[in-house]
Amino acid sequence: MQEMDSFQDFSWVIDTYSNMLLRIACHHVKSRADAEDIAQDAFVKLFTAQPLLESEEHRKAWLIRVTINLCKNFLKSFRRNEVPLEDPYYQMAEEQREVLDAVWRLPEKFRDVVYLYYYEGYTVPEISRLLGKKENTVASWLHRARIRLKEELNGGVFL
Amino acid sequence: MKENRYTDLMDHIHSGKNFPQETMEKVQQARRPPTPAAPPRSPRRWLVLVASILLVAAAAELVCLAALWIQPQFSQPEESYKGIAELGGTSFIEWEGRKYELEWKKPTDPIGPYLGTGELREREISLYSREGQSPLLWVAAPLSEGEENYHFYKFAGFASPDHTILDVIQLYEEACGPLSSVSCVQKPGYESSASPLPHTESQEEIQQIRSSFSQVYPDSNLSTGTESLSSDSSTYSYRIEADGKELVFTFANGVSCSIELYKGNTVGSGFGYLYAIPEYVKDWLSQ
Repeated sequence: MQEMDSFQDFSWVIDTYSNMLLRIACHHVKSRADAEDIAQDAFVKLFTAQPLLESEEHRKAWLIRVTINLCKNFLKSFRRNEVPLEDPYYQMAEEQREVLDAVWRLPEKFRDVVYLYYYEGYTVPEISRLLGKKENTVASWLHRARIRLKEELNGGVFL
Repeated sequence: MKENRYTDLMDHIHSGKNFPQETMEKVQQARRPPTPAAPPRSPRRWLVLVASILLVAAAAELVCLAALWIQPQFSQPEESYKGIAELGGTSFIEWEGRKYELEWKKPTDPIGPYLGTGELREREISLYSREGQSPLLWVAAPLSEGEENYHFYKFAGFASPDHTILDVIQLYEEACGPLSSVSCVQKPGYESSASPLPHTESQEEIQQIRSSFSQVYPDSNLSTGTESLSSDSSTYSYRIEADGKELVFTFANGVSCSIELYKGNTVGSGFGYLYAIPEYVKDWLSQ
């Protein structure tokens, strides 16, 4: 894959992946502003580091992995913002938020797996490569996440 | 509830209008040439820096010496489990900068919930040493982070006779993540001849497996299952089919272990026991 040089290339990548990165970051941090910062940092890393990526799928995977790592770094740092800002999520009705809240209460590692599996449509082997974890581990996390969600939502979870 | 599907809700989260432009600005800022290097620091600052480093190093050395004085019982790294025979004692090994506690329990001590008694300690390894035979390895660790839902992984495998404790720990950590402590159980007098579980106990366990499997995968269509004994009578297997995939539960030497091929994954979880069988165990079983 050629290196990105033009403004059009940058904009296409940002338009294509910004929602995905924002959603991943939202699974880790409480504030939308922080989530946006993290997503932007991931793009900055991509454009400044210009890693050699073989395909578009590879670029997507790279961005996902970097975003998750940035979230982890962020949570270890002191610049976290605990005050959630106004955004569409917080304008949702309470019963609508129930499912998302339950997912976001899951342990960090489960949240990523649930998102990647159910929303991005990655398979267990793909997630395992993406996160650098064994397939067994990913399958187990997914299964345990399902059980927890089922318990929390009294069996009424629709993934 | 239908409108609350997770995937639909995720659609509500999207970046704002200004996000692409702000991101481009950040990228452009990051791509600007770096500012010229700061003028060299004065010699006095260097002196302060060197003195600080020396002070910190001296303090660290003092702390290490104090720790050694307080904990003189810390042993050198153990090369093999065979070297530790004193029952009821505790020793330590150090491996790649981390200390592990090896607790050599008496045969009468409780060794874990899967054998019915005792409390599950966090991240536990029980190792049965049998003269002239491959050591039998059990590993248990909680899956959940909370105290409730105290699930645990169990994998049972046969390490080769020259596997050391360090190999065992490495295998375990590769499969289940980093260990906080290691506890080993040496049980002399363990039945030396390999023998499968008595038929009645196997039957009970099979019923448990079927029942917990059906709870976890209620839609699966379980076959009746077939039982078989290996030619040397050392293992007893129970095979069932679920949705066209074959599941094999093998009982050997008083332990049950499993290989799951359900839905293409090589891990079985959500049973009464949770199984995670590392590759080397599968190799052993397929021999």
